[in-house]
Amino acid sequence: MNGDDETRARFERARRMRNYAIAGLLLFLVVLFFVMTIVRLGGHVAD
Amino acid sequence: MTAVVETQESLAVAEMSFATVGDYFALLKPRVMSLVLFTGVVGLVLAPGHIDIATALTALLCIAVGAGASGALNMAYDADIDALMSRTKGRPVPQGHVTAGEATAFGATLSAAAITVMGLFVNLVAAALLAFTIGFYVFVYTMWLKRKTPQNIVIGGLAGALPPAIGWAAVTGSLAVTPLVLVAIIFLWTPPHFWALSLYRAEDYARARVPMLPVVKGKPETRRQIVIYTLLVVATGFAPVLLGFAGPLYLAANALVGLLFVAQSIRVAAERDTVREPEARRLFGISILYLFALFAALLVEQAAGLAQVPLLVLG
Repeated sequence: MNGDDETRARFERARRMRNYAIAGLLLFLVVLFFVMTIVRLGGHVAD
Repeated sequence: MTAVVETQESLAVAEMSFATVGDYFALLKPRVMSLVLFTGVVGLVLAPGHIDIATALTALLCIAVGAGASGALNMAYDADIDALMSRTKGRPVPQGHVTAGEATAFGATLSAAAITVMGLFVNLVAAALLAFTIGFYVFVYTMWLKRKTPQNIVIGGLAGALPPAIGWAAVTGSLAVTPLVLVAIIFLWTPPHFWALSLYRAEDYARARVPMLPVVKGKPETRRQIVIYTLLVVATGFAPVLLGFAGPLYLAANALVGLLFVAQSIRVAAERDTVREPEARRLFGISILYLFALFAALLVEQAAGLAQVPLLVLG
C-alpha cells in the first residue's frame, strides 16, 4: 500500500465514521420528535 | 496532460476532510459543557412546578447542545489566536483537522437545532434565554470583548452564568429571584476562575495579544482583583440561605469551601510573579471545587427536602 492509498483509506475511514455519526444523530432526532410529540399530545390524542 | 491530472488529484486530496468524529466532539468543549449542564440541572431541579421526564431531558439536551455549539463557534472564530497558545493549539481547527468554515457550520446548525427543539418541545422563554446565551457568548464575548478589553471575562461571564435560569425557565416558563441569585454566583465566580488561569498562562495570552488582565494591568493588579471577586462571590454565596432556598448543607459548603477559596486567593495575592504560578494553579482547581460543592449541595438538599424554594416569580 503506497502513500496515496493510505491517505485515501484514512479519508474513507474518517468519512465513514462521520456518516455513521450523522445517521445516528438523525435517528435520535426522529425518535426525539416522535416521543416529544406523543408527550405533548398527552391525553388529547383522541381529540 | 499528466500535470493536469496530478493537479486535479492534489486538489482532490486538499479537499478531502480527515476530520474524525472525535474532532467534532472536541469542538463542543465537553468539559465546559459538563459544568454548564450541571448548573442547568440545578436550575431545573430547584424550579417549582411539574415537568415530565421527557421534557426535562429534552431541555437539558438543548442546554448541553447549545453550550457545545457556542464552543464550536468560539473555536472557529478564535482559530488564529488558538494556534498561538500552547493550551489551545491542539484544538481541531488550529491543527487543521477541521476548517473554520466546517466548525462554523457545525456550531450554527447545532445552535439552530437546540433553540428550535427547546422552543417546540419545552417553552419559548427557555428557548429565548438559550438563544440569548449563545448569541452573547459568540457575538459579545468571542467576537467583541475577548480581543478588546481586560474586562472580557467579567462581562462575557454572563453567558456561562445563565444555564440555571434556562433550567428554571424550562419548568416554569418564567424567571424568578432564585435562578437569578444562582446566575449572580456564577457571574461573580467567573473572574477569579479565569484570572487564576490567565496568571499561569500569561505568556500564552501575551503571545496571542489577548488583553487578559495580567497582560494589560500586570500580575499584581490581577492578584488584587482575584481577592476582591473571591470575597464577593463567597459573600453572595450566602444569599440562597438568607433568601430561604438553601439549607444547612449548602451553608456548610459555602462556609467551608468558601473559606478555602478565599484563603487560596490570599495565597495567590501573596505569591511572587513566576512562570509556573503554583498557587494560581491550585486556585483554579479550588474554584471549580467551590462551584461544584455549592450546586451539589443545592441538589442534595432539594432531593432530601431540606430547603423550601420560595416563589418570587418575576413577570
